[in-house]
Amino acid sequence: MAVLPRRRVLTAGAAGLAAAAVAGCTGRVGGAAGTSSPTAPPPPDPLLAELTDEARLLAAYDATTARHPGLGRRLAGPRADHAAHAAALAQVLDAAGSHSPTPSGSATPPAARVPGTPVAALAALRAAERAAARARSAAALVAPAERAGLLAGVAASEATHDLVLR
Amino acid sequence: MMTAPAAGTGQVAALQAALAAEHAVVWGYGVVGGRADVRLLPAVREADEVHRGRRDSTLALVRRYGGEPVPTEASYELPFPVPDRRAALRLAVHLEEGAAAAWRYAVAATEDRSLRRTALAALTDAAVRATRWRLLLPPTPPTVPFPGGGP
Repeated sequence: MAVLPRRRVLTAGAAGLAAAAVAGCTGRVGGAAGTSSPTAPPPPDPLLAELTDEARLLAAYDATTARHPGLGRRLAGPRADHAAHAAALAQVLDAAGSHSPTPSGSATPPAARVPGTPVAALAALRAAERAAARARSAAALVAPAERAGLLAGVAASEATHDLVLR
Repeated sequence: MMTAPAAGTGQVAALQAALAAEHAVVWGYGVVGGRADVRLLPAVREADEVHRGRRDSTLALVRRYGGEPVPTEASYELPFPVPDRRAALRLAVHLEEGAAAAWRYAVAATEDRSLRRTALAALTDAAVRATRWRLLLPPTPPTVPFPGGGP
């Protein structure tokens, strides 16, 4: 049953992927609450936090484009990168059979409010990208070898986004 | 007697590959500089300088981990003809992507935290430089999801 949301993540298109990832986590929260286990569940796969973060970034890009359509063309590239990051992370998680046993999804903050001017909105995305690059870099340093390359690539990609959001 | 840091052969091989990549990048920026105009030249020189520094530090790292640093080639084959400024910019992107690929491989080839940090910093720098060059190459999309190829 917990496999279903994961499968939905994999089959969803890039656009639906973020929503599916977040919705999947939220759905599991409800399920987990109903079936309390006597043994402590294993810790969640650390990659789930990275996937949740990518979903949050995608939501921020979508909210910004909705509020400031004039930025759409500029934001399309980084947004597509994040969709590819999320898809790659979801694939690794799926291959590892990692399903969130904890309500990590509930910790997902709602997409931050989009600033009222395009300049301020871009600045907010730049700040989000810098935080993302830092988080992915930190994850890459401690990840097992087979995941470190992917996380490092994502971190490097996110570091480049600053240049196109100026 | 100093104890050499523990190093897997995969780790040294990855560092050697990164060193070979940096040798190639330094050679390549010579070609880029030959086709760059006055406006472009300062950025080319800066990139060239950074990669020379990285080549030297990587060479030292290979020695530190007990390897015999791979030498530079006398000449390299260009991936495509470079007759003008636009081709020079494309070559610069190609060079940085090559460096990014080598350093990304190095990240995954070591469990040593400090070495991984070094490789990650080099990967990120190459990715950012590639994006800077691509911004001068419209309509090329300036960013890629996985610098150095992938995922």
